[in-house]
Amino acid sequence: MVQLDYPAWLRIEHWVNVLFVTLLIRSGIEILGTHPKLYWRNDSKPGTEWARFTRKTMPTDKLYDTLDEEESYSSIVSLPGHKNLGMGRHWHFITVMGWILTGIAYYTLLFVTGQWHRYIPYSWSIFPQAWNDILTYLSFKLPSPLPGEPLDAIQKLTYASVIFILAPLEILTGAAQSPAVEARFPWYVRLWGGRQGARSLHFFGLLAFLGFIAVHLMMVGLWGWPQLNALMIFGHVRHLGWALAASLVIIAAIVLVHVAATVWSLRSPRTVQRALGFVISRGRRLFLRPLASRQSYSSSQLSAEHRVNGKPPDSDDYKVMAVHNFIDWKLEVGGLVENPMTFTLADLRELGERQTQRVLHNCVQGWSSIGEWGGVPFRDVVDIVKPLPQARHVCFLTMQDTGRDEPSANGSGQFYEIIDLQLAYYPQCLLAYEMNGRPLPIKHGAPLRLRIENQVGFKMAKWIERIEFISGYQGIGEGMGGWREDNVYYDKDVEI
Amino acid sequence: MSTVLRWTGLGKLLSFYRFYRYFSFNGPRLTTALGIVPLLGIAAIRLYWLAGGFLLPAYPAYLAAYFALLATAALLAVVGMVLGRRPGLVQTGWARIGWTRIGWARIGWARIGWTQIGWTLGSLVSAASIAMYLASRTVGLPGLPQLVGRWDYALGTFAIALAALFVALHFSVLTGMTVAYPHRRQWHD
Repeated sequence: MVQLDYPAWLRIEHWVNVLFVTLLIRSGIEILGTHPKLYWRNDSKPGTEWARFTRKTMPTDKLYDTLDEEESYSSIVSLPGHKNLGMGRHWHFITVMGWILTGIAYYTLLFVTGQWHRYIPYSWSIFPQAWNDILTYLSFKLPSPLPGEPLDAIQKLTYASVIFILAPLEILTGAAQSPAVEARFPWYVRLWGGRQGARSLHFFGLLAFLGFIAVHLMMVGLWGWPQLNALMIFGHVRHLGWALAASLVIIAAIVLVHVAATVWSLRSPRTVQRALGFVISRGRRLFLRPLASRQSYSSSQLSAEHRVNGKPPDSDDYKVMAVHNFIDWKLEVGGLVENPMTFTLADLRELGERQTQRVLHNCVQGWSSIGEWGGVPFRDVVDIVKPLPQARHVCFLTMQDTGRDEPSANGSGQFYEIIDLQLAYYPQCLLAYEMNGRPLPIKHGAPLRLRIENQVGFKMAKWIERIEFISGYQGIGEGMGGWREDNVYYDKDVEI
Repeated sequence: MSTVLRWTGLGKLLSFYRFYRYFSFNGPRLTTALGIVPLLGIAAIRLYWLAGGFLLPAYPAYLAAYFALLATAALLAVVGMVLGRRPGLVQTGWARIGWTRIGWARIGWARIGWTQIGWTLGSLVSAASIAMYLASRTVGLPGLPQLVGRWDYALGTFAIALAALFVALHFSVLTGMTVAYPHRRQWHD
C-alpha cells in the first residue's frame, strides 16, 4: 500500500483550502444577511421562518419590502460587511470557482497517488473502531491511529464525510439555489425539498464546516500542534521552529487576503465588481446561460403571498393611471429597431396568444415564491419591432424613481435593467400583465413587468414604461448594465 | 476608538446582549424534544449506575440515593415539559359558564406552569449532576476518595456533556433565542 504521508500537493491544497473556505464562510454570511431568515417552504411566507439572524421586526401597519429587512453585519464575520450583498456575491462566486477547481485537483491527486486510502474506509470494522475511539476521547485519552495510517478511525470517517459528503453537499445545495438550474431542472430543486430547503441545508452545511473547523483545531492541539504543523509545512516532523514560523506567515497571509478583500470592497466596490465580475460572468455564460426554463408548477403549489423587493412609483402620474386601471398607460418600444412601436395595455392583450407560466421566483436576497404569470411572450414583441443587426441588449426603463420611492436603497434615479437580447427569445421570457389569473397588482409591477425565469428577480423590471434595443450599455447610467449594477454593484448576468 | 468599534462592528460583537439578539429560532416542539433527550439520558445513566453499571462495584448508600433522586427528578422534569405540550386539552364550551371559565384559566395557567417548572427542574438536575461529578473528581466525595482524578470515565464525561447541553438549551429558552412548547413565536411581520 502507498505510504500515507504528507506530499507537497496535499500540504499546498490544505492551506489553499483554508483560504477558500474562510472566504466562502464570510461572503456566505454577507449573503445570508441580506435576507436573514430561513424557511423550509418555497413561499417564504412572513412568519414561517424557522430561524432569524436579525434584530429587526417589520411593521404590520404599513407597506415594507424585503430591502427593509436587510441586516448590516460586522466585517469581522461577513465579507465585506455593512450590507453589501453585491460584493458578498462577487466574493462568494469567485471563491467557489476556485474552491471547485481546488477540489477537482484534490480528488484527482488523491486517487492518482493512492492517498485516498487515508480517508476512504474499506472495512466495516472501522465503525466499531470509531465508536471505541469516541469512548477513548470521552475518557480524555488519545486513541491509536489505524495501523500504517495517519488518522484514527473516527478521524478517518470524519475527514471522509467532510471531503466526500459535506463539501459536495454545499456545492449541490448552492447550485440548487441558481434560478437557471431550478428553471431548467425543476426536479433538482425538489430533490432538496425546494428552494428554501436547499438554502436551509446550505446553512446547515456552513454550521457543519464551522463545527469541523473547531474540532479540527482542537484535535491538532491535543495531538501535538508543533508536530502536526511541521507535517503540514515540511511533510516531516522536523524543524519545528521553522515550521511554526512558516505556518504563522501563511496564516498572516490568509488574514491579509481577508483584510485586503474587505478594504478593497468597501473602498472601491466598482473595481471589485469589474475585476471579479469579468471572471464570474464568463463562468455563468458558459455553464448557466444555456439553461432555459421548463417550469410548470401545479396551481396547488402557488404561493398565497408573494414578497416584494422594491416599492411602487409614488408619482401623481402613476397614481392617476392606476386609478383608471392603466387605460392611459403606453409602452414605447424603440431604439435600434426597424419598427418603433407604442402599445397600450389593450394592444398587448390582443397581441398574439396569451402565455401563462407557473414558476419559482428567486429574489437575489434569497427568498422565493411560486406565482402564475400571464402576458405576452417578449419574443412576439421583438418579432414585431424587428431589432436591427447591431442591437445586442434590451433596456427596460421603469416608472420607479428609486430616490423618491425606495428610501432603503443606496442610490437614486430612474430604475432600469438591461438584458442580453439573446434572453428575449427564451420560451418563458414574458411581458407579464397578469399574476395568478388577475391583473398584475401594483406592488408586483402593474401594469407591466418582465419575467425571465432563469434570472434572479431584480432583472425582471417592474412598472415598465419603455423598452429600448441598444448595441451597448456602457453609456447608460454608470455603464454596468442596470440600476442595481450601477448603484449596489450587483452582477449583470444573474443566472445564480 | 469608538469610531473603530463602530466601523468594524466589534462593539456590537463584544456586546453579548446585542449579539445573542441576532439569533432566534422558531421550533417549539424541536426545542422541547432537544431538552427531553438529555434529561432522559441523564436519568438512564443514573438508573444504569444504580443497576450495577457504575465505575465502582461498591459505593456508599447516599450515592445510590442521589442517583435515584437525580433520575426521578430528571423524569419528573420531562413529565413537566411534556404536560405543557398539550394546551388543547382544555375544550371550549365549558368556558361559557361562569365558574368553569375560572377553572379553564387555572388549568391553562397550570399547564404553562408545569412547563416552566419542568425546565427549571431540568436545569437544577443538570447543575447538580455537573457539580457532583466535578466534586467527585476534584475535592472528592465522602467515602469515595478513589474517584478523585478519575476523568477517564467515558460515561461520566458523556453524562456531564448531556447536562451542559440541557443547561445551554434552557439558557437559550430563557433569553428568547429559542421557544419551548406550548409557547409560540409571534412573528406576524
